[in-house]
Amino acid sequence: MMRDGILRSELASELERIGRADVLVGIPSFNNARTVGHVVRTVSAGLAESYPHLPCVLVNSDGGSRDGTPDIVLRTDTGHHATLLVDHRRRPLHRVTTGYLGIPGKGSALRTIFRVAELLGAKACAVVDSDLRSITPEWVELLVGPVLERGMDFVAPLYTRHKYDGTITNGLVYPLTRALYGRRVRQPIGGDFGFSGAFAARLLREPEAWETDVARYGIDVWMTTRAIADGYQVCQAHLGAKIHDTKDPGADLTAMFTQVVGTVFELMDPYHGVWATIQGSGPVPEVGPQSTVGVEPVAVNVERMVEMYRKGLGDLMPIWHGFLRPETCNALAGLAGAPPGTFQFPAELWVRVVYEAAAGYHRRVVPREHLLRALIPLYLGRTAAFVVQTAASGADEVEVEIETLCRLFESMKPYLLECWDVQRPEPFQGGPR
Amino acid sequence: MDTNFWNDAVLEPLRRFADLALAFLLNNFLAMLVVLCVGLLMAYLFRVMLSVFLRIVHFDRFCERRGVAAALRAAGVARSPSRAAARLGYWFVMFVFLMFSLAALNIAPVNDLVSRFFLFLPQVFAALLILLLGYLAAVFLQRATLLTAVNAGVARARALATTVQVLVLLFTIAVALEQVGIGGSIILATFTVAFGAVGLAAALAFGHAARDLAKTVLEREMTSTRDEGLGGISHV
Repeated sequence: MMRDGILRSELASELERIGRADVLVGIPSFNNARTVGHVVRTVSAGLAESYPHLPCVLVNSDGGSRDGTPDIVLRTDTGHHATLLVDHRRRPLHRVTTGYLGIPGKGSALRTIFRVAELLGAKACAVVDSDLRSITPEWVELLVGPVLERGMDFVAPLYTRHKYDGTITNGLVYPLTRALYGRRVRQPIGGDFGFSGAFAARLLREPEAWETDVARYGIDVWMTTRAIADGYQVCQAHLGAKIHDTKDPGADLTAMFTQVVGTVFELMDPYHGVWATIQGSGPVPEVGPQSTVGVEPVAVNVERMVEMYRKGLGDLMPIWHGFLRPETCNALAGLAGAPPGTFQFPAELWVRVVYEAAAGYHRRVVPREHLLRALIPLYLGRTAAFVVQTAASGADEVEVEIETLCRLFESMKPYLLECWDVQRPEPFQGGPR
Repeated sequence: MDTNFWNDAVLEPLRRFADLALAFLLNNFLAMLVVLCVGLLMAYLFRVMLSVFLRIVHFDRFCERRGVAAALRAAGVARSPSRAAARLGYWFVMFVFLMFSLAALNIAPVNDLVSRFFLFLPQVFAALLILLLGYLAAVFLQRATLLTAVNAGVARARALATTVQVLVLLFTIAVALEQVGIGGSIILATFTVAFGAVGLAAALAFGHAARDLAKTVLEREMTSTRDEGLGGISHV
């Protein structure tokens, strides 16, 4: 097995000893000592329950944890499934932990998992976050089963979440990807996925992508978009509640937002031929029992978000003018007066902002990193308004609001095409003088 | 005798001077005029070609994006950046040919001046390049600082960003001036003292006035959960 810049040499030799595996479950981690043991135990139990007859591997791809996460992965007692340490024994469930190479981030961790899957010839794979507290053994079958038994290539998660949990997903990424590619994948950046070995191998064939935000938080939406836009078989699995450790070292809104939204915008260029002709959207098959489960309450600081919006309005208007139309900027300026309790950010205006920003990103009217960062106060303003609007609503009513927003994104798609294709007038006209 | 004297002392030197002047006029001065005419033509062609090239590479859009166009407008330049650059190129080529034409006169002091000019030219180019890159860096850093500060909720974000821009511009000007040999050590000393004073003042101010703030920020950095201050929202 040759060294390829993705795997550490000691792991490559260990994989040679393992030989092959039909099912692989990957767990990317970074300082998750508090929760990773539970995840490992649950995944092991799930594999034992659902696929006792198949050779399985559990791969932990770690980002250099200093809290002993890899040790916990290897030493966690999984009952009758004996631990197999690297260089020691072979058992039905192999457990491997390795540090990944490349840009620090979840994407690089998953690339290592994909490469391991490819080398072991895995037919079906799943990745689950290492900070999960709500994972159950059934998750393994829900994510892996559709690939093994129904020929799916990509299984996206469906969670029961608090109405204010996942606001980038609900307010931006889900409506936008749905309007663009015409498939209703409800959690495009859910974090826990199932996929075929062939799909993983295909993703590995694009070395340049792994040098971008795909190597970081952009990985989830990149995988989802690739699966949809490239025409792979996609379904969604009801996993129940997603409750995860809120401690996430190194994570902050700016990085998450710019990497996720930047990846969505980035993919719009190569897939323009795919999304430009799509109108409306269609459902995606769902598997697993749909259950009602309790979710943890979420506290929201609306005043702070409105304050951030106003601050952006006061300082960033010249940058907004670089990629938003004058009438959109005027409308944004008109929102500032309302007190936080009655703050409004109309959905139609939000869609215009997103579409004009996507087109501006495409045409590089301002440096792309600046454009993405300048969007954050607008996103916070829209999120604050959404919270105010749905304060008295239940989860189902909020879901209806999100559906309404999605339909608005779809109905206004011609506006995106108009912004996309328009040739920005040169600021100065005329020939040489 | 009077006639010979008049001839020898006045007319003959005048005739020789007239011959020399005519020879100079016919040779060097005409050569200078030819060089100037060629220069005019070359400068015009250069301006047209540069203008077309800059339009093909969307130079105006680039300048608009980087804030150069706004700076030109603020400085009272009504032309587009590509036209301004083309015109600058025109006058540069003209100036070079003017130097060539002066050299064609073949006058020793002028020749010396021309050779000095051409020796100095690379330094001027380097200084202009430093100014351009410094300006672009200053605008970029101003925006980056502003965005970072606004998203971090920093008070007076714009003042902070402007300060960064001014410091970068001042540093750029100092380096450019040093490149052309103007006040090298004085500028360096001035900046050393100025930056040192600013750093010391900031340290003293922070130490006295914001010690608690620093402690709070550090503690929050060491122990915070993500997105503290915006509630418990999980954005992704």
